[in-house]
Amino acid sequence: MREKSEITGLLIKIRDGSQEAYEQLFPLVYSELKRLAYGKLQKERDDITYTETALVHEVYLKMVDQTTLNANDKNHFMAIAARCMRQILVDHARKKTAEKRGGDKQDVTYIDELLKARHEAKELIDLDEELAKLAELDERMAQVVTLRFFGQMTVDATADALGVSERTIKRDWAKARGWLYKELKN
Amino acid sequence: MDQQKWKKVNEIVDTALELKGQQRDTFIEKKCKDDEALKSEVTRLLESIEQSGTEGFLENTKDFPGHLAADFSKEEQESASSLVGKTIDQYTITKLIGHGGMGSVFLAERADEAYNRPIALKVMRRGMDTPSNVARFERERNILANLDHPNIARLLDGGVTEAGLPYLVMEYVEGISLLDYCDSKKLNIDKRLSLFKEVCQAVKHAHTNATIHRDLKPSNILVTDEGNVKVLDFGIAKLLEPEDPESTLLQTRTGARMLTLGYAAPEQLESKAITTATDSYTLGILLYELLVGVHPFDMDDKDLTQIEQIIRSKEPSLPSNKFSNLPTETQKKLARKRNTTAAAILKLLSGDLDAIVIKALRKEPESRYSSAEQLLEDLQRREQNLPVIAREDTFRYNSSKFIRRHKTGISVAAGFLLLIIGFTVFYTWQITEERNKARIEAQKAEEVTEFLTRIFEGSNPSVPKSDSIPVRHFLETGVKRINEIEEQPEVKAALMTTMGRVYSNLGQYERSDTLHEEALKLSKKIYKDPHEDLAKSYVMMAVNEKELDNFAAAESLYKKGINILEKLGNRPDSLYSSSLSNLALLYEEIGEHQKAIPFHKKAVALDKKNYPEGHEKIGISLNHLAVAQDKNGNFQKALKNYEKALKILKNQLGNDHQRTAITTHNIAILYRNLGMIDRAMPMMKEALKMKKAIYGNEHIVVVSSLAGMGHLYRETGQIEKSISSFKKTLDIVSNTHGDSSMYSGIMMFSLGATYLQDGSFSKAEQLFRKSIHILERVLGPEGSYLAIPKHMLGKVFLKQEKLSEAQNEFRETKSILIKHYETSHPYYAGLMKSLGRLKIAQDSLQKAHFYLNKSIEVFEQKLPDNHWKLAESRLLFGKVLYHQGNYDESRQLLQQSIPNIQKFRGDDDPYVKSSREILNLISSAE
Repeated sequence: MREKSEITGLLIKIRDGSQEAYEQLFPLVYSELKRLAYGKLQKERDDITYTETALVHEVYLKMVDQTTLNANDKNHFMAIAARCMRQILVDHARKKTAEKRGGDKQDVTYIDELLKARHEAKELIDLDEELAKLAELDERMAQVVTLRFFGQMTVDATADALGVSERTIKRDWAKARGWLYKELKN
Repeated sequence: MDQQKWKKVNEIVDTALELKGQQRDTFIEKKCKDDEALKSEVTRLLESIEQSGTEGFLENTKDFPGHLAADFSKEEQESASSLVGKTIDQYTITKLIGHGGMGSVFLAERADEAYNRPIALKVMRRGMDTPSNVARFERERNILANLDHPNIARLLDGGVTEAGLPYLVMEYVEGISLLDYCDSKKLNIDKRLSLFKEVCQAVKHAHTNATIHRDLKPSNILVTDEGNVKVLDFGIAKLLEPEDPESTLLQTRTGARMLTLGYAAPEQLESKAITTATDSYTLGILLYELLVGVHPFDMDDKDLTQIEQIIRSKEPSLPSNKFSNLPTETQKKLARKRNTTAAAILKLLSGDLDAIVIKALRKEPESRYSSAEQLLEDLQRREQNLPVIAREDTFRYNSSKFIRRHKTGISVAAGFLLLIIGFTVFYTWQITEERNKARIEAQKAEEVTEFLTRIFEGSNPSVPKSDSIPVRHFLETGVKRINEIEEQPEVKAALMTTMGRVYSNLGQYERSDTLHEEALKLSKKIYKDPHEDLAKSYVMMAVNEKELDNFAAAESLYKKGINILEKLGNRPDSLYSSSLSNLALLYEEIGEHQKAIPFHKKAVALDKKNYPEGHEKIGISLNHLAVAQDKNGNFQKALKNYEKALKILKNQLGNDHQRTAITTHNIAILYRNLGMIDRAMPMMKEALKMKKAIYGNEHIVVVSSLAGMGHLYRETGQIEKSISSFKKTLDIVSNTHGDSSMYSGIMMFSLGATYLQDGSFSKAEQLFRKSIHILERVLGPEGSYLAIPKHMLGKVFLKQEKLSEAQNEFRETKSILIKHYETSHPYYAGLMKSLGRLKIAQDSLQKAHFYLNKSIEVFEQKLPDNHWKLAESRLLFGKVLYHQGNYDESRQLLQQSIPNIQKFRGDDDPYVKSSREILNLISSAE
């Protein structure tokens, strides 16, 4: 992994509006998060309290030198991590649904979990697709959902990361949820 | 949606979210104006926002990562081999034999050599979570250790590893799976059955020791080199389930039952009680595979959701059917493995073995063999050529199962239906060749279900409603049974149509439609030429569509049906004529009276051909025709047909029948419309008398005739009687519908009209206002009925010389009328007359001339020349002409029209009086 200082530097550049820095940082966070996700979840699979929120925080602690950053930078990082998390989970879900019960029959299967995971995988993929459509109509609303849902970020952290008021976030969240609900549940 | 549209929606929604209730609605209304699409987008989004908020959509997200995390873990590669060479308690692990989801199996030996045969050691993948679970594990293990049977691999020992993973020590069995063994040895069906019976013996032993296997599958049933059957892993699935029901987290995490998809019983997927019948099911699958060579369900290339669906609801094909449907090559190959021919296999399977396997595979545990022992016994009966339970049971299962369940009055009829369905299934089984016989059965089914359908028709209040569970359940089961019929599509289609009708009568139109559609699909396949059954399906679907207000769809379906019936020529049944009538009634309902008439005429003609002269059917269809003609303004023709219909109905049904009463009422109304009040009065009185005799004095049906009397009394100047009639109607409707229903609104303005005529303006005004209030609430601000009280209120103002108020009411009346009626409707003429009077009062003679002229034009088209309404307009017009100095025409009009009012309302009527004054003025002026 790269030096903490390097990543922290990228983050500061992003604060100043550098798209290039963003594009450099995203894959770094993505791979670290993924590595951590698989590793962690394997070892501690019975610890159900271990959620992605914790993962994101752990990535942050690992990758960033917090002493040189302010709260706003942290929120920016969290936002990136949320987008990564979305991609990781959706990729995984895609892989899941693509698997058919083919030739090599698994001897024993945890039916409940698998069925459940399949259903949820499908839901997740649908959500991701609708979110992409929403982004075409209203980019910020889609961002709010990504951060709030995949990053489990609070309203004020989301507001801080996106640079708008909490009131706006709340309203966007309500509208975006309504819009997604309309598309997915009806 | 594009971005531009979204911007609009977004903007409106933003503001709307800040508003509440009425304010919000008004705002949306204002913003969207006439853009219905925009409005619907906005409302849908607002609704979804609310709904998603209540449901906490996307907020309860803990589940998501949790389960996906569990899923991640499946990617893990167990490094089980690292245990080889290690020692667990007194066991030394020598070799990894295999591993699956449940854990890893090792070959091991006792380190202390106290037991010197090879043993299998199974290390579970999952921890035991809590001390209480560990304790239970020990307890259960002891029970299993007591299973002592030559066909069961013994459980020797068990414990928990240092890492906290439970392990089990079992007798090591070297062998191959039962299925592979049979194929490799080319065992014939008999030998396969005898090995299978050994499996059953093992399971029976466990069952009598209160142990259920729960996970019987080929890899758990091995045959040793010596040919001994050994069943492995008895009860281990149960052993690993957590006991504590309160720890729900543990249940979702570790309570995953370990199952092999192809061998899981429906109740295992539904988390229902697992019983010995669960093992029967799995034995059934095993037997199926042993005999046929393939799994009963095709699960390859299906995803889990589909498989779940199959296990829960797809009925397996009979083994013999399954086999005969395989490709010839496959059949040959399988036959070789069974050391016989395909034909011989087929013969052997058909009958008893088919029935036994199917009974074992029933979806409902209570319909299967309740334990391995029963299955075993049936197999033995078969060998001894005794009748097997499964065989008898198949018939009973299909026919009488539901009679037992439903003990309401309906069950008798239901039982009949199911018995007959049962019969057809039975025939399918027994004598597929004899189609004719099946046809007779279908007819029988028709008769009985006719009876059943009538029960559901709802005229009988003692019949349970469709939402009562047993009825609904029974119906669904009926449908299911019908779906099982494979050999006689005619029977199937006919029964589906019948069930469709039952559902339609219960108001479940969509369900009914599905059945009709399926019946139609079948019928289309069976009958190349036009066939009555096809027509029947179309017509019944049309009925459903009409009930759902899909008029265009209903129309086209009726036409399809009628088309077929037309091609078939006239037949002595009522389907054709009733379809014609129903289509016509549909037209009337949507206001297309003109279109209705030819169909009614055709129906009348048909009924005349099919029924003897004077039959009630002819009376009924004549009445229908007359109503359409009446509404279409063909009064004379209508009257003639009404009178014919009435004669027939009185003859056939007598006076005390609702149909006779309705036709009598209709005639009275027609006379009234024709201005023949003297004839209308006795007819209406008779209709009222009939209705009272049939329904009693206080019934809602009586109201229309009572109100009819009220109008007639008013029109003949009998004010007291009119008032008391309308007051009575108000009493009745407020008793039956509450005092602010639409009926109350209508009766109020009717009573008000009488007060208005009597000059009691304040009473009239009060009633009109109340009526408007009620009708606006019930029908919305522009409901058609509102035109009447508004118009009348305007008349009150006119009488009180509040001219601008009057004008206001008339204007509102007009805007309502425009919405609902063509300008050639008599209502319009009435309003024009009022406007004419208003203009006279305002001294605007030219405009008065215009309006009254219009009014007369319309009335002349719609009413007979001596109608009092036309007379009123003419008298007013005569007045205008007088003021305009046109004495000749004025006198002519007045003289011609006065008698048409005077004869009903006498010399004191204000119209009569003022007209005579003008006549006097004219003669004195000349």
